[in-house]
Amino acid sequence: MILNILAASTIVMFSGILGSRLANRYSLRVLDIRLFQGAFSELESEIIYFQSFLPDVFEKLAHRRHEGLARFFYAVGEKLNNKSEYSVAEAWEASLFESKPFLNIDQEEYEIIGQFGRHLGVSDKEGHRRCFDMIQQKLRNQERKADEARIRYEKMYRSLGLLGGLALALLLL
Amino acid sequence: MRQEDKNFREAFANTQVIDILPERLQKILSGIPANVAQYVEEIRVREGRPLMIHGGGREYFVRQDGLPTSNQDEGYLVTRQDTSMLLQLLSNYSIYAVEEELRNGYVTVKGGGRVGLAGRIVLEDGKIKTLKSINSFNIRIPREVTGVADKVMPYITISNSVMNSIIFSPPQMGKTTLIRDIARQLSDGFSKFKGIKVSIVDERSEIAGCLNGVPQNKVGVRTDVLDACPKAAGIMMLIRSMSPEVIITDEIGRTEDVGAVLEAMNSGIKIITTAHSASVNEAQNRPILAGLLEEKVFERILILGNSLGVGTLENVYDGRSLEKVLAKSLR
Repeated sequence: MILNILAASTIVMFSGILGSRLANRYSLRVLDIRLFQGAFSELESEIIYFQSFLPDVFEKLAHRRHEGLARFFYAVGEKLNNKSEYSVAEAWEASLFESKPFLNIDQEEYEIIGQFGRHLGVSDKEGHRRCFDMIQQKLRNQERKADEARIRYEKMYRSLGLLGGLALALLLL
Repeated sequence: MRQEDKNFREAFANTQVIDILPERLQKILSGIPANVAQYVEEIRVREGRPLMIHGGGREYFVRQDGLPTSNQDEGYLVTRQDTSMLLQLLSNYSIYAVEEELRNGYVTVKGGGRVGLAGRIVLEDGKIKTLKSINSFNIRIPREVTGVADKVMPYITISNSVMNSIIFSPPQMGKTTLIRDIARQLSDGFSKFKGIKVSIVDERSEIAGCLNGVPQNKVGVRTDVLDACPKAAGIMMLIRSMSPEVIITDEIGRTEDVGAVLEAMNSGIKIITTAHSASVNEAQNRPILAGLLEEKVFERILILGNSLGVGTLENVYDGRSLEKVLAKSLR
């Protein structure tokens, strides 16, 4: 009997954890999108107001607590500083790909952010201003979508994990 | 560093100009034999056309393996990728940060080198807004000549003070090279002359060749540079803020420049400057310079020419009496 109770509670615990993991992904996605929005406005002011050079800007942006973003900006900066044969667009895309496992963004955001690199460093201030307006707009949309998804599914996955675990435990016992 | 790379760097006067070249072009240029490379003054990169080098009064096309040739069909054809990479490296991946330079048609790079650019001009309200589709690059290898002012220094200094001087010369006679070296010598000191505080107003970034405000050319340890600053405004700023003993500036020619020069002189600051003119007579025919000469504010007038080669010191006049001080031309 004791063994049964122990097994049942283990099942419930694990499926509960699984549920909350899945649920967490939704809020982490929202968080990452917001962090990217912040990083992009920092990038914008470095470019438009301070006219700093991109390799220096990325070095600066790499000092952040979020591991995924830090890795991403560090990687871009490193590629540019090494004067390798990467163009900005290539360095950006390759670095985003490398840091993807550390980011909680969906394919849609991945593509939006990836495409942004094509405009970076190759136009004048006005051109950059437009690109920044555009990406912020797109990220705002994504943030809204991600937030809606979070509201809809976060609770559901959390309860599903717990209830699923309970159901499984009852069935097995 | 590989021996080849070292030779290549030495041949190009160790300038950092070559660092801005994309790998492929660097590789090609490192194949240029040292006896040719040491005279290279310009590397011309034009999209879709053969890579060229100029120097020592000669020009060559450069083959894929770096060997110079006079047959244009053998020259390495510069690709789109070469030029776009070159532009990225040249601007340090940040076109927006060199907008002002693009408007002027050149970018200064680390080490004081300069790259001239040509492409499509974008106009706004009839003024040049920026340069687009840049496809022609003139990479100039700076060959700084320290010591060109040796012959001049005794004529513009007495014991440890400097005389207000103006250098007249036709274009391309080494005015800028000369005042750069004058700045260095006054600032660092030479033989018995103790170094003094020098300020430079470098409107066209040619004297000090600043990159991010830091002089890339040797202009001396006691030298402050106001880079890319209009002369008149710059002189006034320096008088107020940097307490210079001498202000050096290039090519005065506008009325406001004259006002600022007089203001500096009246504050006890010495001025060394240059102007386009082949002789004192010619200068007297130009209203603004004539005014300055009439006021007799300059103690020394130096004339540069090329009777004994570029940069010959043809004449030195006493600015007050207009008497010759120099017995014969010097080089």
